[in-house]
Amino acid sequence: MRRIKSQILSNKRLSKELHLITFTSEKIEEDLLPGNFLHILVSSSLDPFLRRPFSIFDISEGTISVLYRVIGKGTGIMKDLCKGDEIDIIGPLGNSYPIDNSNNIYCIAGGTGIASIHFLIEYIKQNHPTKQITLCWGTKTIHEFILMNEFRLISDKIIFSTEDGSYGNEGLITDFLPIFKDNSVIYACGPDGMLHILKKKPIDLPMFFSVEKRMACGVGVCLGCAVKMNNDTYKYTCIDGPVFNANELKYE
Amino acid sequence: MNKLAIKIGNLTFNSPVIAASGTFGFGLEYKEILNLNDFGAIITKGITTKRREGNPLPRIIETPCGLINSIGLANPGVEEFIKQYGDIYKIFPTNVIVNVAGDNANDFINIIKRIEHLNVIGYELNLSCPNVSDGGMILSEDPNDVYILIKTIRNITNKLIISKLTPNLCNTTELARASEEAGCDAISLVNTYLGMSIDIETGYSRIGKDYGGYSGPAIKPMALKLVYDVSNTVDIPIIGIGGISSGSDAIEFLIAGASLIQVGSIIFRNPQIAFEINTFIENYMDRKSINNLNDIIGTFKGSI
Ligand SMILES: Cc1cc2nc3c(=O)[nH]c(=O)nc-3n(C[C@H](O)[C@H](O)[C@H](O)COP(=O)(O)OP(=O)(O)OC[C@H]3O[C@@H](n4cnc5c(N)ncnc54)[C@H](O)[C@@H]3O)c2cc1C
Ligand SMILES: Cc1cc2nc3c(=O)[nH]c(=O)nc-3n(C[C@H](O)[C@H](O)[C@H](O)COP(=O)(O)O)c2cc1C
Ligand code: FES
Repeated sequence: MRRIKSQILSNKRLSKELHLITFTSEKIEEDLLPGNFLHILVSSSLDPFLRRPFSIFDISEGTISVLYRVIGKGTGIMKDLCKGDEIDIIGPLGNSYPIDNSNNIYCIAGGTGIASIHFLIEYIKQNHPTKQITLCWGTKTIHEFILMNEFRLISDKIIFSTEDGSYGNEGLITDFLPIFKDNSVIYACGPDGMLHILKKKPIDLPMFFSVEKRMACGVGVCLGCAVKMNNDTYKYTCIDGPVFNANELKYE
Repeated sequence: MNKLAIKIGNLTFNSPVIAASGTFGFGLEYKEILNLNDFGAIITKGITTKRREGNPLPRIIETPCGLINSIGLANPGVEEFIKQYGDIYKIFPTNVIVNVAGDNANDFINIIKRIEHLNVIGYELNLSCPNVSDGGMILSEDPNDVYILIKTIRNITNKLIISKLTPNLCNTTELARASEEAGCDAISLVNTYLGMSIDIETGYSRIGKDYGGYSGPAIKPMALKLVYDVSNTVDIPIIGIGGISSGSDAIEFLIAGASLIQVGSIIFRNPQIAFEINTFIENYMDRKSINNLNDIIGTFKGSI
């Protein structure tokens, strides 16, 4: 974990709500694994007060990119940051997707969940090139399928769905999952609703979810980012997660 | 000589800046990105006799210049605490104070007896947690109960006893006086204010309970006023808390009458805040030709 002052290199709008911001990384990227997150202070003003957690979308030497949806105060400020502006970052934080010996990887992404899935797929392609990757990607509407060519290059197969039917299958991505092969592992990142549906499906494969919870500290001191476990105890998204074995998690 | 040093009784704090309970875990979590000895002391998360899982979700929501929390005193319980941190505190870069919470006087006494052998300088009694319906709140309301509790604890320890008071009652000054009379060494003030936030679409609370504890820069003026009031009531040192987010905030509390200060919510945003406050106070003292921190404390001049 380090705290750095980072310079914005670019900040692009990719669709109505999705933006991609790239900034200098002061070598933090060397320690980053898929699933890790950064805690970003987007403004020196005391309002908004807290840092904002974001997954890693992409890294290259000396830079990190984050894909974000503009939904409120913090991301509203983020979208107006320009090249040369500074942000304050703490990271890397959290755990990472565990990579096992399975030959077949199924990645299920909903909404901005595609961010950490992108980094995961890139990482697997680079470090385990023989693994077969199927991406199941659901969004609200066609415009949210950003950087499609790149995803086509790094995935072996992609299944698309949109809630409004404007591209791919119409409905939720959880209704269009493929028949899973043996010797596979499933990684999923997306809204709680999507993870809940996945958890209820009779899937007999190792399955890992990356979850989002509200955070204050990001390092395990405030105990704000609790996630309920099956045995009714809590674990903490920022230090025990954000990636959890789906078996452990309780959805009510 | 360290200009920032300040004493309570015969205990020396290298800096007047202390990490507030619940915002600094058990002291190790941030160690990779800050110097622990920038703090005069660190205060642990509140410890109870038994493990507590904590409140339902969500537990944190941001508000303008602050946050509302409903953590519910989640902690591993005193036995697990001793197992995990007893040895670590044997060699720790700065003073450690344990924040103790309980449902009744016996809880406080049992916990303190169990941890009395640890290498910690004292106890901050959380007489005011807003998140336990059956807890702190009731115990803390009556100055007599507070007097008896602290008197009993005084009989079992020579370590520092700090009474941490809530700002949510109208008799804070009486509670402070009762603490002082019972032999308490210092008063910590304030714990969180009670606050609410409602989702207007659903009509439900935006946190896991109907209300929670409100902290951060937004509460600073109210906390400062209470520190000022209590410092005019008691002679024991006051540890000022509430929204302190900069060196200048810290000095305001010192001028109002606090001898030391705690930083809480700001740590989430700026973990290196203690270093920044220390530097600011040093420069301020140089600029004003002040050599001793005591020459700032309680120097409020009133209105012109
Ligand atoms: C581990 C992790 C990884 C994430 N990765 C991404 C990502 O790659 N891309 C992306 O667009 N978003 C991601 N999010 C969600 C992102 O943190 C929120 O969208 C963002 O904090 C919203 O900030 P805001 O000020 O615009 O919204 P506001 O609604 O104004 O925020 C108010 C408060 O709620 C919190 N909050 C709001 N929504 C969320 C949420 N979904 N999860 C956690 N906290 C929230 C904010 O942090 C802030 O404290 C991630 C969240 C977590 C926990
Ligand atoms: C997430 C969180 C957890 C807290 N937990 C405790 C606790 O366990 N015991 C306690 O006495 N105070 C607790 N507090 C209160 C703080 O120690 C402090 O009194 C309060 O937040 C006001 O200071 P601030 O505005 O600088 O945060 C907690 C505060 C926060 C924000
Ligand atoms: S965000 Fe503070 S414990 Fe996880």
